[in-house]
Amino acid sequence: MQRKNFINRAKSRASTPKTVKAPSTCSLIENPATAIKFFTSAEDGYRNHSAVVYDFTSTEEVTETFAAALIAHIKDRNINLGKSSKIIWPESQVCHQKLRKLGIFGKVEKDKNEIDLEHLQTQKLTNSKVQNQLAKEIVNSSSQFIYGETVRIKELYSILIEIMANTNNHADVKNSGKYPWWMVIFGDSKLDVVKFVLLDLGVGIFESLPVKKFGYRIQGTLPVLETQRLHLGMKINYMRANRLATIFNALSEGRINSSTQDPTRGRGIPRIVDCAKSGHFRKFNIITNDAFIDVVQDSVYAMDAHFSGTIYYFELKKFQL
Amino acid sequence: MSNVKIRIAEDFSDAPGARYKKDGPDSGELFYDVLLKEKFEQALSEHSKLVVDMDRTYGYATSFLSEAFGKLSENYGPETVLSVLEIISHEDESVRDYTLEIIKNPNKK
Repeated sequence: MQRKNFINRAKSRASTPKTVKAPSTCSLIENPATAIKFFTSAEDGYRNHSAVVYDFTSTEEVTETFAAALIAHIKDRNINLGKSSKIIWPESQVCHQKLRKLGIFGKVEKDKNEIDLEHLQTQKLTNSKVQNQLAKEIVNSSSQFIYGETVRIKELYSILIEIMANTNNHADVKNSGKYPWWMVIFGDSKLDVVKFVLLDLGVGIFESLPVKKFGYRIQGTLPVLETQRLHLGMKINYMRANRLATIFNALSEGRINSSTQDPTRGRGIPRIVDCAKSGHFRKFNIITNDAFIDVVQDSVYAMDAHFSGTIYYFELKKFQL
Repeated sequence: MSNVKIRIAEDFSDAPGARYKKDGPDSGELFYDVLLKEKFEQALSEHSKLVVDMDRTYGYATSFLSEAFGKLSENYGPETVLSVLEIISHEDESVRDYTLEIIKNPNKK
């Protein structure tokens, strides 16, 4: 009887859409834990329901980072399993207009791989391998936006190739190439920066095998700090943050090899960190698993939410060349 | 005897890719197979230097450098490679330093 009820409940779920309510501030940078919980809930909806309804009724603010993740969820069949997505528009007219400008709905309706929107410089999504010509074009168009001329910004090019290569040579060797990476680029003329959001929908940096192994090795060597406080809307667990910071520092210094066990690997993250600190970037954040990393400020926070993958968010600014 | 030269931006690609051919275009593996190996052997046989000019590209991924120059060092030995090869990288000295580090320690790049 119990088993029958369980099956009936599962069947009922599978035939109905799941509504996920968006927070007031939709941002992976300002409100990361809440945003990640929102997307985790949507992923559950795709797995267990017939469709997902994104409810933005009470949303006041949607940032580019959130928009990029939303586009990936709506477009990527690895995530949505081919099920449909619906939108309930925000009551706030300002937010409504911004969502339209961000192009999310144009993207969904037109189902194209590339779109150019009125105030956006470039917007691209891809699930291909390492694309050097795409990276070159992005450097050209970004430098044109910022400097008014084409400049070979080597740090930006290196970061793009390293992230693509890192995603492609996936942490989970068996799934190498299975997971796509997504890239969305926004030109912000008010701040005079170009904003990049790259999503690697793999297992995430701290869940990769060699990093896990390193984590086991350092277990017990770190001081135990139980205090917690709030930062960026996250409940900070200092003990976990300290552990994540130790691991990330080891990665940044090239002390953890890649998942291939090949000692010639594991230099991608150090290169990304070096380039991120070159002065070309106003912000450089990495969200992966339960870590929120501010690379420019050398800070690592532990979130009370878990993202299965890695999000790179960075802002290219004008720099004295 | 004049030196053998490779200008990566002009002779190979101004936008070098990642490690393997399967990763995408203009990989380190491709660079080694079609250019670096041949020019290195030419320099060896002519008892001249191989000058690799790394400037004027958009940049390099570490995987490109470690695959191409690591393989060269593994196949010919660090000492031989260092005696023949001359790296030019005025635009980004870290690229030169990293490449030399790879050649010196091909198994610890």
